[in-house]
Amino acid sequence: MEVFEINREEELDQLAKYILLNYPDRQVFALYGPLGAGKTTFIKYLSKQLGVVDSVKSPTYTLANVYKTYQNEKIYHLDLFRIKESVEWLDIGVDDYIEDPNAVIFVEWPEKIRDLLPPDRTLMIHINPDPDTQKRKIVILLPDEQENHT
Amino acid sequence: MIVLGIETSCDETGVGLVQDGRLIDHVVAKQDIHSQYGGVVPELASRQHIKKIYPALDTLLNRTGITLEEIEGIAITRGPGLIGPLMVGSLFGRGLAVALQKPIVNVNHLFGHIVSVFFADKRLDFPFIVLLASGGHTMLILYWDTFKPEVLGETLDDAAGEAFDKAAVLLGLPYPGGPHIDRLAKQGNPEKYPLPKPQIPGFNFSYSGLKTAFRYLVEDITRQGLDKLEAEKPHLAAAIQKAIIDHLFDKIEAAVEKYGLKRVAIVGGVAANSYFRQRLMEKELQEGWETAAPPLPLCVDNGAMIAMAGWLKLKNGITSPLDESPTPRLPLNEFL
Repeated sequence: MEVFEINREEELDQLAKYILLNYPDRQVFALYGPLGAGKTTFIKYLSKQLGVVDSVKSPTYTLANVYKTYQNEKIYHLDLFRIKESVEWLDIGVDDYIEDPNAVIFVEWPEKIRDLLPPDRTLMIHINPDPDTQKRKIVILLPDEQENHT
Repeated sequence: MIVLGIETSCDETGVGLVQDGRLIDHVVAKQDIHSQYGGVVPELASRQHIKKIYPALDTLLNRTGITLEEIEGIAITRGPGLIGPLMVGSLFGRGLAVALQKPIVNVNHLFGHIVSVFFADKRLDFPFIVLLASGGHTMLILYWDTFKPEVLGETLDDAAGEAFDKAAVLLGLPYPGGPHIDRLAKQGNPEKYPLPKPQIPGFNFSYSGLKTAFRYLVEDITRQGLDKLEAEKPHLAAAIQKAIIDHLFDKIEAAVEKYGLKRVAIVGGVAANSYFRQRLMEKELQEGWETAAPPLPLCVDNGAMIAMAGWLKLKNGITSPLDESPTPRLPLNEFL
């Protein structure tokens, strides 16, 4: 587990670089945090480090955005905001994205598909905004640490 | 020439008929199943499209008295959108084209929204400015000619319609939130809670900062009690609505100034917002703009706009091969 304090948005650039360098075996990035915490924003910075050429936008309405990097690698950006846990998520096809071994996958609102996240390939990123200072505390966890954390 | 348009890119099953650039009629089968899940669930969406597409077409033909044999071309949405729903409409349309031996034409969903402006009462001379704002997209376009839309800017994060929907969630309103905010805001004072203006250079848009600011504001008021929140809801709805629309106008006005064009159209689901239309009308009355917007039912996703785009393409001799598949990622400039 690692904890970072973010005071300004620009600091996410360094943090994105740090995460990608230090967790090279992680391919599924699960981003937790309330509405407006900055999940899409952080995915923008992670994507930039990965060399995404498309513009990264919220997929809330479109559910899944597909981006390409300049090396033609695939990035899936999933947003499960509009999916309720009661839905049988297997029917939705989310597993097809997550099981793709040749892509990097970002998932917003991953709590809705907890059991689908592969433990050996997932990194969990919690973004906690401080309501008073509007700073962000970012907690990075591996899936086995997550169990102890929650 | 009569063209049938089929739109299934997201949650609406839409079929429409256009004859020589004029609307005959259209049917949108709303997928009410989604409101109980709080949003669009793609697999359910695909299943619902399968169930609804034939009855929708049947209703349309019965209502207009037009027979399948009279249809001279079939237009389908190729993307962008959810792959399952797109596949349903695409295969249905291609099957129909084979059976009727009529040409098929693939349409970019975004281009469909843009040409929905031709359903407006007023016809604007080219070039003019088009603001497309919906749940999934927000773009400012300089529309030079039928097949020459130039994208000046687009959202860097959330779409304007999504900002409405997320604000509605924060206020505890049902999905989809846009119409609820519109209604509630009529009883509110938009100046009571000033929200920060997004500061984005050029013609791009950004709504994520506004969303976060609104979240803090709502949390702040909730801490004063739920009664207080209930009492303030109309003012909060009015405030967020004004902030969302102001941001759209900032960019429209910047384009009007830069290109010296006072001709402006608004399209997409957000163009159905009554405050947005009222503000546009004020521009017409006070600053001499010429403005246009599609009739309300043709702002949201519908089959008629796909039929219009298909008619424009067929008229210009453009058809698609039968094996051209839908694709979820389809930028406007890569496929018209």
